[in-house]
Amino acid sequence: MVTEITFHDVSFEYGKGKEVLHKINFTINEPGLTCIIGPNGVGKSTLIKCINKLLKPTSGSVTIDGVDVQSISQKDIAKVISYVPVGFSDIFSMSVVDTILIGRHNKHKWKTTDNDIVIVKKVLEVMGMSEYSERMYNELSAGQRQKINIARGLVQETPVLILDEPTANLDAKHQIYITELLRELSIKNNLITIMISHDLNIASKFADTLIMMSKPGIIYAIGTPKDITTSDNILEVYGAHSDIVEHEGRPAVLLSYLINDVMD
Amino acid sequence: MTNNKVMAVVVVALMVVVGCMAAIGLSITNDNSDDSSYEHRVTIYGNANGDDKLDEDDISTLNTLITDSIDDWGEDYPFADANQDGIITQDDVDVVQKYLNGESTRLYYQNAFDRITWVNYPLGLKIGTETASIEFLPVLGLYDNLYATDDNYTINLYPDKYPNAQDKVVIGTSKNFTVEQVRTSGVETLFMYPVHGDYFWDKAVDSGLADIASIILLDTQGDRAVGDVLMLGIFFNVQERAQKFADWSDGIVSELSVIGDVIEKKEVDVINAWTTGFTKGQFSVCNTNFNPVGHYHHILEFQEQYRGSNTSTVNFEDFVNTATDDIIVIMHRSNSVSLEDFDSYCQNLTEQAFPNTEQLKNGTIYAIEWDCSPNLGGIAGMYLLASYLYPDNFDTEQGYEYLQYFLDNFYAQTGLDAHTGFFYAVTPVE
Amino acid sequence: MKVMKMEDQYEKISPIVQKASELWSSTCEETKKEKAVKEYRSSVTKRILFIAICVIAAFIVSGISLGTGSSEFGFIGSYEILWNHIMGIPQDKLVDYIICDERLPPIVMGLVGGAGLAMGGVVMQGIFRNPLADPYTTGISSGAGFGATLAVVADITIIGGNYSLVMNAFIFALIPVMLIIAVSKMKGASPTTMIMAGIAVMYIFGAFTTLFKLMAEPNALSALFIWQTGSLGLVTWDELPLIIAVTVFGLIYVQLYASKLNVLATGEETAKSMGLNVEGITNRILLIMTLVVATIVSFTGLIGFVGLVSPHIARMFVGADNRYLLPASAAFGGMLLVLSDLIGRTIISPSTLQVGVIMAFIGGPMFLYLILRQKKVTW
Repeated sequence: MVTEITFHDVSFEYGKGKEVLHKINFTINEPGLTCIIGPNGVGKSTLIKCINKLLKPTSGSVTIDGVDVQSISQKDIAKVISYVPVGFSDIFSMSVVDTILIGRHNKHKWKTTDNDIVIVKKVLEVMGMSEYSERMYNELSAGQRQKINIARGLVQETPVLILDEPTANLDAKHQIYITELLRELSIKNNLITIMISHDLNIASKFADTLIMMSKPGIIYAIGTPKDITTSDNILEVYGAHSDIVEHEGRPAVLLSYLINDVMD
Repeated sequence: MTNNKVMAVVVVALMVVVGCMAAIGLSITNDNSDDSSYEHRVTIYGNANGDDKLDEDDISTLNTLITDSIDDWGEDYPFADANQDGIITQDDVDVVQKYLNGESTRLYYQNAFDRITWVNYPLGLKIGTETASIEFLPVLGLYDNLYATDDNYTINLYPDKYPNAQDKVVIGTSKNFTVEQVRTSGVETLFMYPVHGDYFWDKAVDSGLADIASIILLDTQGDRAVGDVLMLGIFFNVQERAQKFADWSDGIVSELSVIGDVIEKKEVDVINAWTTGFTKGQFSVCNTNFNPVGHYHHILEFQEQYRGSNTSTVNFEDFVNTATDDIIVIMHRSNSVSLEDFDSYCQNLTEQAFPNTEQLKNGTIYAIEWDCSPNLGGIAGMYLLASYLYPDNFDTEQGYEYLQYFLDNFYAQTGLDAHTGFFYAVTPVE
Repeated sequence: MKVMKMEDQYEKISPIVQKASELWSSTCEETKKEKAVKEYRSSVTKRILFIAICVIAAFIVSGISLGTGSSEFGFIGSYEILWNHIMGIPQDKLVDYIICDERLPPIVMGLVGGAGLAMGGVVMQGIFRNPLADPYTTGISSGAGFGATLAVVADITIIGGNYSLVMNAFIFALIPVMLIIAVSKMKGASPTTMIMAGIAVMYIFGAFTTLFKLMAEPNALSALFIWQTGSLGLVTWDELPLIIAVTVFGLIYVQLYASKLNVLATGEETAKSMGLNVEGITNRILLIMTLVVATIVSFTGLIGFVGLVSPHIARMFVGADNRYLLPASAAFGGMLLVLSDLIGRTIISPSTLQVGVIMAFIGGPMFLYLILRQKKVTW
C-alpha cells in the first residue's frame, strides 16, 4: 500500500522554453479518489505522467512514500502504479479477455494462471460486460472499449491507479457508475486513484479531493469539492459564469450564458 | 538515440555504400579490348602440341616428354596432361590412343570459364541445347541430332531460323536446370551457354550426371567460338567439318588483319539497336566487355569512353556531340519483319533514331543483323562492315560471298541469299 | 504544500456500485471459477489446434513436394530412395542426388525460411503497430540482399571469414531498420508512411543491385538474376545447418519475448507504464529478427510477402496474442513457402516459375487489399 504521493516544486518543459507545468506542489496522503480538473492544455496529462516516470520533470521531484520516482526502476514503478491512458492505441484486436489479460503481465509473465482468468472474469462482471468476453476488442463501441481499458488497469491490482480521462467516451449513466466505482474501490481497498476529468459535476460529486489546474500550468486550488467548486474559481479558471447548488450533499455546477465579448 | 542521431547514422551508412559502389566501379572497369589472342584454341587435355588437332602428333609429343623426362612441361605444353593426374606418363598416351581408336575414354578440357571439366567420349548423340547454343549444330552437321532444348520461346517465334526445333523435348528453364530435369529428358550431351554461368557443371559432378552424360559449356560469340567449334569437331569426330569452318573463319581473319597493322584502325561506335530506347533518344552503346561485340576488335577501336564495362546508356544529345563518323547498329530482326523487309526496317529505325545527324546525312550508318554479328557468322559480318569502313581495302561483294558461304554450309535455315536480311548500309537522308 | 483532508464519509452510495465493489473484493465461487477457466482454456486449445494443423500441413506439403518431379520412380519411389539414403543402403548416385541434394534442400529451406520471414512479419507488425509491415515491405530484405550481393559479386565484405556473406547482409540490413525506427518516431507518421519509406529503400538498394548487374561476371550474374526474384534452389546442405541454427535460435528467442510483445502492442506509453523497457526490448528483438532475415535472404534472395501474409492469416484463427501468433505464423509461413515452391515448379513444367514470383502473385493482391482496408479503424 502506498501512503503518500508528493509533488515537490515540479516544473516541466517540453523543450524550447515551452513550459507546461510550473512549480507544482501538493501531497496526496489518504486513500480515495482524486480528480484533476482544468481547461484544455493546462498540463493535466503531463502532470500525471510525471507520477509514473513516463515524463521526467525539468526541475523538482515527485516522491512516492518519500522516495524519488526517478530513482525507482520502471519495472518497480509498474508494480505500484497502473496507468490507463487516454484514447485507444491497440492496433491489432484481440478478444476482450486477451486484451484485459495483458494487464496481468506483471503478475504472470508467461503463463496465464487460473487466478488470472478468474480476475478477468470478475472485472468484466464489475464492468457489466460479461457477455462480451469472447468478442473482439475492435468490434466494441468506444464506450465499451474505454471500459475494457479501465478494466485492464484494475486487474493490475496496484495500490495506485492513474487514469487519463477514463470517462470521456461514456454515456451519462456509465460516467456516474465508473467514477463512483473508482471511488468506492479506492476507499474499500486503500488505493490512491487519480483521474483526469472533464466533467465538473461528476468530479465534484464523487471525488474526495479536487485538484484544479489553471494556466499557465499551475495548481490553482486544491481541496475538497465543497471548497474548490465555487463560482469564483470556475470564473477565474474556466472563464465561465456559474451558479453552485448543493445536491445530494455535494456542490453541483449550473453553467450560465457567456458574458464576455471575447474568448481568450 | 534521438531522431536526428539515427538519421545521421543512416546517412553515413548510405554514404559508405555509395563509396563502395564507386570503388567497385573503378576497380571493375578493366579493359579487355585487346584480349583477342588466345594462345591455344583447342584446350583439350591430350592436345600436347597445342595445335588444332588431337592426333598422332600429340602422341609423339607425349612420348618425347616421357622419354626425355621433361619435368617442367607445364609452361610449354599446358595441355599435355591428358588424364589430369599431374604427371606425364603412358596413361596420358593411352587416353589419346583410345580416342583415336574410337574407344571410350574421358576427355578433359578447359571450358569458357577456364575451369577444367570433361566429356565422355564417344559423346552421346541425343543432344540437348540452350537456345543460344543451337547454332553450333549445323556447323558440325549435327543439326538432325537436336533432341532437346530449353523452354526459350525464341524457338517458336522464329520457326524458320530453327527448323524442326519446335517439338523437341523440353528440358526446363535454362537459368536453372536441375539434374532431375536433364536426366528425365534423356539428353546424352548437353550444350550450356556462358551467360548463365557455370552453375550446372558442379551439380553434374556432385550428382554423378557428368559421368553418364557430357556437359559442355560453349560460347558462340567472339573469337573463342572457333576454338569451340574445333573442339566439338574433335569430341564428335567431325573434324573435317569443323576444320572447314575454322579455315573459312581464319581466312577472313587473316584478310582483316591488315587493319591495325597496315591500315590505321578507325574509332567506331557500336549501338544495340533492339533496345526500346533506340528510337527514343536513349542509346545502348556497346563496350569492349560486352560479349556480343567480341569480333569487332578485328576492324575497329571503341571510343575511349566506351572501353570496358558492358554497355553504356547515352542520351541523344550527348551521343551526337561525341559520336564517331561511322556508326554500326546491331539489329535483332523481330519475327514480324521478313528477310525481304530487312532493308526498309533498318532504314526506318535509323531515321527515327538519328534524325538530322551528320551520320545519317552522309549515310555512314551500317546495320548488321545479329546472326552475322556476333554469332558464328560474325566474322563475315565484320568483312562486310570493313568494306564500308575501309572501302579502299575491302570489297563488299567479297563480303557477301563469305557470308553466302557461311549460310550455305554452316546455317540451319536453307535457301537464303546473303544479300537479303543480313546487312544494310543506310541510305543517306537530307 | 497543501494538506488534504478527507471529506464526509460516503453517506450515499449507489447500490449497483456497492454490489460491484463487493464482487471485486470477494472470492469467486468454485463452479463459476471452473466455468471461466474452462472457457478460456478451450479457446487456447483451439489456438494450439490451429498451430498443430499448420505444422501438419507444412509437413504434408513438404511430403508431397519431395515426391513430386519428372523422374520415373514416382512418388513412392522417391520415399524409397530417401529411406535407402537414411539407412545407408547403397543406390544409384544420380537418383540419390536428385532426391537428397536437389529436391530436399529447397523444401527444408522453404520451411525454415518461411518460418523466419513470417516471424519477421509478426515482430514488425507488433513493434511498429503497422499491419503493412514485414521484412520485405520495409526494405530490410533489400538491404540484406544488397549486402549479400556485394559479398558475392564484388567480394566486398565488412567482416571477413566464413560467415562474411551473412554478416554483410546483416550489417546492410540494419540500414533500413534504423531508418524505419526513425520514421516510426516521426510525429504524424501513419503505417503507410513507414511502408513508403521501406519501398523507397527497396528501390534504392534495387538500383544499386542493378548497377552491379552491369558490372558483374557472367557466373555471378546468373545467380544474381535468379536471386532477385527469390528462389529456394540456390541453397545446399553445406549452408543449411547455419540457416537452420540461426532461424531456430531467432524463433525461440522471440518466442520468449512473446508476452512482452503483447504488452508492447498496447502502445509505447502503456507498455512503459507496465514496466517494460520499451526501447531495450524493441532493439533487441529487431536485432535478432534482422539477423534471421538477413541469413535467410543471403541464400534465397528476395522473397516478398511471406512475412506479410502469414501473420494476417494466422491472426484470423488464433488472434493477436503473440504467444500463439508467433508459432502459428511461423508454421503457416513455412507451409506457404514450400507450397509456393511446389506450385512454381509444377505449374508450367518443365519450365519453372521461381518461388518469389508465386509469392508475389499470392501476396501482392493481399497487400493491396490490406492497404485499402487501412482506411477503417482498428484491425
